[in-house]
Amino acid sequence: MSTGERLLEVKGVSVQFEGLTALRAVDLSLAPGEIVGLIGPNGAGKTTLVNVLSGFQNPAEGKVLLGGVDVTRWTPFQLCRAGIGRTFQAVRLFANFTVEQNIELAGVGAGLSRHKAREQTRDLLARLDMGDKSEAMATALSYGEERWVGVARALAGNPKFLLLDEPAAGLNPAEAASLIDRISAIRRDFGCGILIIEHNMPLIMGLCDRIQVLAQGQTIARGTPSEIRSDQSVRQAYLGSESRSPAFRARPPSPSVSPAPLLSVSELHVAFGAVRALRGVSIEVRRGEFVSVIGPNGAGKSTLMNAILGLVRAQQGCIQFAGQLLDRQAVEARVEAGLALVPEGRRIFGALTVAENLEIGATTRHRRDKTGFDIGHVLDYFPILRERLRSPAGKLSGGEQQQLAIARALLSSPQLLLLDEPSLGLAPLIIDQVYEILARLNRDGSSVLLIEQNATRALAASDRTYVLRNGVIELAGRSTELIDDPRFDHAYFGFVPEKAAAL
Amino acid sequence: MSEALQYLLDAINVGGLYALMALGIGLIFGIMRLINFAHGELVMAGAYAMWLLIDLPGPLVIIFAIAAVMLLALAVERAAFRPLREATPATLLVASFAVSYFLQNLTVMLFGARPKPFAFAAQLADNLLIGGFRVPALQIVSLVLIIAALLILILLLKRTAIGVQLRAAAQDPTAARLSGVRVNRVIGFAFAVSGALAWIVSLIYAAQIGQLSPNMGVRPVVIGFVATILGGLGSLSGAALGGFVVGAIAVGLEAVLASDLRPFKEAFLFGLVLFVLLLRPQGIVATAALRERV
Repeated sequence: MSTGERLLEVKGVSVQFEGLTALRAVDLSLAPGEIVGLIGPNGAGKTTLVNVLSGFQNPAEGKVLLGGVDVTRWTPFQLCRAGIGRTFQAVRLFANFTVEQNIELAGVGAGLSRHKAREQTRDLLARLDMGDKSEAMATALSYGEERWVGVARALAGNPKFLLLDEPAAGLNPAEAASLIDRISAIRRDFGCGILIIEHNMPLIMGLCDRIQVLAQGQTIARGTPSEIRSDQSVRQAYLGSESRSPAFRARPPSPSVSPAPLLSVSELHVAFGAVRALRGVSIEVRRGEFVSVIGPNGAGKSTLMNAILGLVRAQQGCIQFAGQLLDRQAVEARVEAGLALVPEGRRIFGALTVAENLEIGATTRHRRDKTGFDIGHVLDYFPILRERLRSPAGKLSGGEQQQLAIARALLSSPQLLLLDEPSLGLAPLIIDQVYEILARLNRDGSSVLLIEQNATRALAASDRTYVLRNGVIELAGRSTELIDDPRFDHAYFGFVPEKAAAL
Repeated sequence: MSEALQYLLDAINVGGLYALMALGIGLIFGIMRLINFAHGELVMAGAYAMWLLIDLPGPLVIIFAIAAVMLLALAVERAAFRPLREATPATLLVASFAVSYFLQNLTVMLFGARPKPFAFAAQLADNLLIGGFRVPALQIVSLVLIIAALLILILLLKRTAIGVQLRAAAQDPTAARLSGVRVNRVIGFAFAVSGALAWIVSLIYAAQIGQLSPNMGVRPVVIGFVATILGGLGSLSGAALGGFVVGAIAVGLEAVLASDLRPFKEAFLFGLVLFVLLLRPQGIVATAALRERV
């Protein structure tokens, strides 16, 4: 048992959320001085695993061992004192405290006296190259600095193991690249084992000794960075597997595409505080066209959708829809003008019945001429919903909820249907059904703007595709051509997988 | 036997009144996360409106008084709460206290601070003889009003377009807006309905205590608020249930407490409520929408 003595181990851990399996029999081990990357598409269960390791989530099955001791049901603060430090996706510093006070507090929380904690903080800040910021208020920090203080705070507990949840999220490419050196330095100076969740592939590939890939709650691959790069199953987990439905492969172009743009977004800039989510994005959708925007997690896809609908405000740029400039209009007015969004995560009204959800969707119909989709017409596309009209929408399966969300959006008789990640959290067969419906809607004349992480699906379903990464359109073109475009992998991942490069 | 029946009737009456209060508060909380302490002043305003209009024929008094309370509710929403739509729940809560004190002191300014004896319909104090029991007319009237109000509220929320929109917006305002629901209208509707509920309370409550005063709304709003919390904040059926539970406990205490302890009934009442909340901090009916993610 000497091998287990210094390790942090996860053995056969499973976690369920209300019927949804977030993790299924996952194993993982982390040794001191080792950097392990945990990657996988959105919803793979990465954060859930870190929550299990840090005591924020109790697993339904399986064990967590720290140096051979079973710590499965320990509370977060017990684990913190036992040497497991973590960062969070949202940093949440104490705004009215200085940097030094923020870190000192974490030291005190980990059991040090105030005096000791202050000494340690000075030492930490010096080692992390932030000595000049120690008196700065947390609110005065840049976003990147704020995240780095989050790391320092986790180190204040003197962890033997450090869990980093998306340390590069929201950083600009230069800042993200600098993390490789800075995290390596932590390993060197502190000797701790580091587990890092990240979507930034160049960072993961440049930093990690080993990589473990999760998809839909299961480990699908593990190995060195170069092994993972050449593993086709990993590429598929991110881009989506080849669709088995032959109808998608030989997709004819949309029947009646008008030359004039229905929606045109030009030079759009959106920032949240210091985080620049979109940096000069321009896209266009013509009437009758099926357009997709694909890109990795954090690329800015949802922000683009929300800006079009008016849920977030753009700092620069303009959005034109059906010949009208969308500027200060409220969300409701944009819906009435003919935009309908099927939001990420579906967001159906779970406590209402299916029929009531549809009635809400038809809200704008009562105020306008009653052309376009009515409930009967929409139910022809979604026969399964017809049988469930009286049941609470929250009781529907994921696939049925997605259909309901699309049906609800259609009932506002949109000129343009926007969908944010409709395949998220659905089984492949169900995704087939959803895409079949989208294809049919488009054949019948609907214009569609689709946002997807599942790139293969989106490419197969659409006329044209934009690749968005880090808030910039990296590549655009006809979907059939993009599939084989040699520039595609670089545009999407920011690096070229070895196998693909060889082809 | 007759005593048990009497307690049951009392429990339904007292509980029903609290339930109407709790529903008025719960309706507004559900849709804008505002705990509206000024709801008590709507009750007060309803009673003063009836007092002012007392020389008109009865049905007109009722119609004008309801209209006055609803308009006041809408005015409060427009003037005080709409500008704070994006503010934190704490700011909204404090604003509702401000509105509450403003309306109380406005009433003092206009009508004086002293309680005024008041009876809208003197017949309510009479006793009716039903099946050999002597039942106060007020109890029968309030029972009918409470049941009718609950039924109408259920119909409004389940069967009308705006009612369905209200329930949708209470669950996910953003998703509702994405379907074209005009949130301002829906919130206005919620305030108007809460005004109508407050008027019913003012009719029954004023008849029970037989007088008007500028701060007469404070006690009902506190108990209504407690009932909302007990039932589970954010759930309307929970609010109604909470009202009835608090009413039943209050009447039950009246029955079992020794007579020298009865003046301290409310200490026991709120003690019991605290105990229930210790066992079930999320309230009787937990609402998924309020759970926070880590």
